[in-house]
Amino acid sequence: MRNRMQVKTFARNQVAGAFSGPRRWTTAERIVVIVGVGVFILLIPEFTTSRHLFLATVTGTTAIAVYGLAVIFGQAGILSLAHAGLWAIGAYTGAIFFREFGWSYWAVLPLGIIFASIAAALLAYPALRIRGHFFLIATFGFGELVRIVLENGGGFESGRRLGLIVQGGMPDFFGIGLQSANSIYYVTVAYLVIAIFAVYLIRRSGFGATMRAVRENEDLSESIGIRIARTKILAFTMSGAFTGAAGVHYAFLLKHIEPSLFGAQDGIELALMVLLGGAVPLLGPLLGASVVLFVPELPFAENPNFVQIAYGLALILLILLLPRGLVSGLKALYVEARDILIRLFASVREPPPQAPRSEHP
Amino acid sequence: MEIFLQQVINGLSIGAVIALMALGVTLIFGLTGLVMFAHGELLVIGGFLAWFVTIQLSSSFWLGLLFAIVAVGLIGLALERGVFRFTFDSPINGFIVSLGLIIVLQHLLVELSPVGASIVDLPAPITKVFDLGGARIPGTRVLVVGATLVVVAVMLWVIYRSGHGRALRASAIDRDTAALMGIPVRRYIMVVFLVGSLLAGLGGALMIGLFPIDPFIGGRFVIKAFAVALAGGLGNPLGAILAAFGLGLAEAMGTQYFQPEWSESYAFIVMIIILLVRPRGLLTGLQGPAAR
Repeated sequence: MRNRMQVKTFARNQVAGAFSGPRRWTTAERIVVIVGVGVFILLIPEFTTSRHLFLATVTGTTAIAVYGLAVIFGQAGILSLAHAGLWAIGAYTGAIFFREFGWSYWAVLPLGIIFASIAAALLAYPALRIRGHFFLIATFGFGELVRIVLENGGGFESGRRLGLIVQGGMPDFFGIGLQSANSIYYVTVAYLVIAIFAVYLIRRSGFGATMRAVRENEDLSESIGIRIARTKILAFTMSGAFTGAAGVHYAFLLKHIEPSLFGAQDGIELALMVLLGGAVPLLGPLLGASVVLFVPELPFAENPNFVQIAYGLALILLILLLPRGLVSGLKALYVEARDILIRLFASVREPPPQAPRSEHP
Repeated sequence: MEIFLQQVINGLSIGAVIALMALGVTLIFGLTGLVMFAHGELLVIGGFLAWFVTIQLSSSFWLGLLFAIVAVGLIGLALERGVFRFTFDSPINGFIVSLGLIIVLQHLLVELSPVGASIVDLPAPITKVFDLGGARIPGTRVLVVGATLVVVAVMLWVIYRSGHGRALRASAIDRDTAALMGIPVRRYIMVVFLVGSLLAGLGGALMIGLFPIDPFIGGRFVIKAFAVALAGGLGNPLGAILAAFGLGLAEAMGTQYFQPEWSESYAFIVMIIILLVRPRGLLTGLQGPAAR
């Protein structure tokens, strides 16, 4: 019997051509996963009911907001519970300007992004002074404040508790007869792809590195000339842009929005989606949003109470056992399984190159 | 004037419930750095247990009160032993776990409650009404404020005057050094969870004497508790209690004299302003062991 180390080294050499390293996700595997997920997403309208297709569209929209949150949590290490509030700002900007001023979808989309970004920047200002928990609680307060403001309404009488109706706002996207559920779904997927690509670019940019430096050690990064306050505010503004875009689209998608969609509880839910999927892996937020929104649809989920309880328990266990999220967990599981397989094949195919050394413990 | 006095006692009784919550929240945070958002659910469970025992099992509110306190205390202890002690290295994980617990406890309560998700209510446990300068003051509110003041006074005495309190405060300032000095920090954490939950059980039982509750109001109270704990400086029991009564009074006055629909937002506005102006709270608080 050869000892474990030898086997590992041997297997590593064997597969060196095909895989960059046994502990890592290789380019080939990454492409397979991305193509697989992409094909699955594109084929969803082919095999689902219209109810589930709508839910998938909502999931895609929600996921865009979750990506906004994942950028600041994964890169800058700031968790926020205020993103439901920013989401609401996007949605209500879209709805109010559409209803009251007759602006088109394309006109309110940038406006929603701008408003949500400005709100995010204003919210990030306290981040200059407070850290960690204090900031988290402050964002919680902000989220709840937005909901109360919405409930009490401004000059828009119809915007109170009953909500706003946004009927028929969805435009004909690029003139391809796009009022159908399928086409709205595909447009949402396109947005989602843009959002994921944007996150990818942000991560690879110099600013991404700056955010990670701030996350790892604030004092140290300040000492090498990184402006902490500016970095945090910029990160938050960016995050708000994602969330604002998601909000506008959400309003037009649901056709009816109300304050209770955007309370502090929903802020927690967005954070749960990030944590569930994992903030760092590119597909994490999408998986998190899908799990949270689709679990109640599972066939065994007859009693909604039990679904919620199971979901809460799963979350607790996940945090205790897999704190980096489902995607990282699945990845680790896969890599582990793959390495075991490689080891098996390596030992079957190739006889040991030399007699093993004596087996001292 | 009568209305003013009436609102003062209303504000104080709401403030009392918030104070009982805030005391537990701030003690737990001070010692472990954990933002325990599920504390509001403990309050609601306390209220429901008091209601259940009073209405369904016996007819004595006092028995319900006692049962709620003990049972919620044990639930809190079980949570510390079963869940939270694994998260003390990473309080952010503890916070997320507490968010998960909110979901679990809330729906467990709906599932187990004989009336499901509906509102429960108790007849006022004390029917006597005091007359104070023309204002009619229900005995229940006097009980709530009085009981809270007594409990809070005892707690403050223990924290600031006794040897155990000194050890507790030392552990909150620096867990490792305190442990090196021979203070059983782990045991203090356990006790603080127990005591915090007992207080939440008491708060819940008193709360259902004041007004009807449903299984979903815990969140509202835990936010207020954190708002006042922040205002007083997280980890600072005295500050939290003062701020709690202040918030209760502000809400009652706001409901009476300003626009009532905005009174719910005071907590958040106050909290955000305090965070901006004095991020460490009005009275100096602790950053908590992990946030430092």
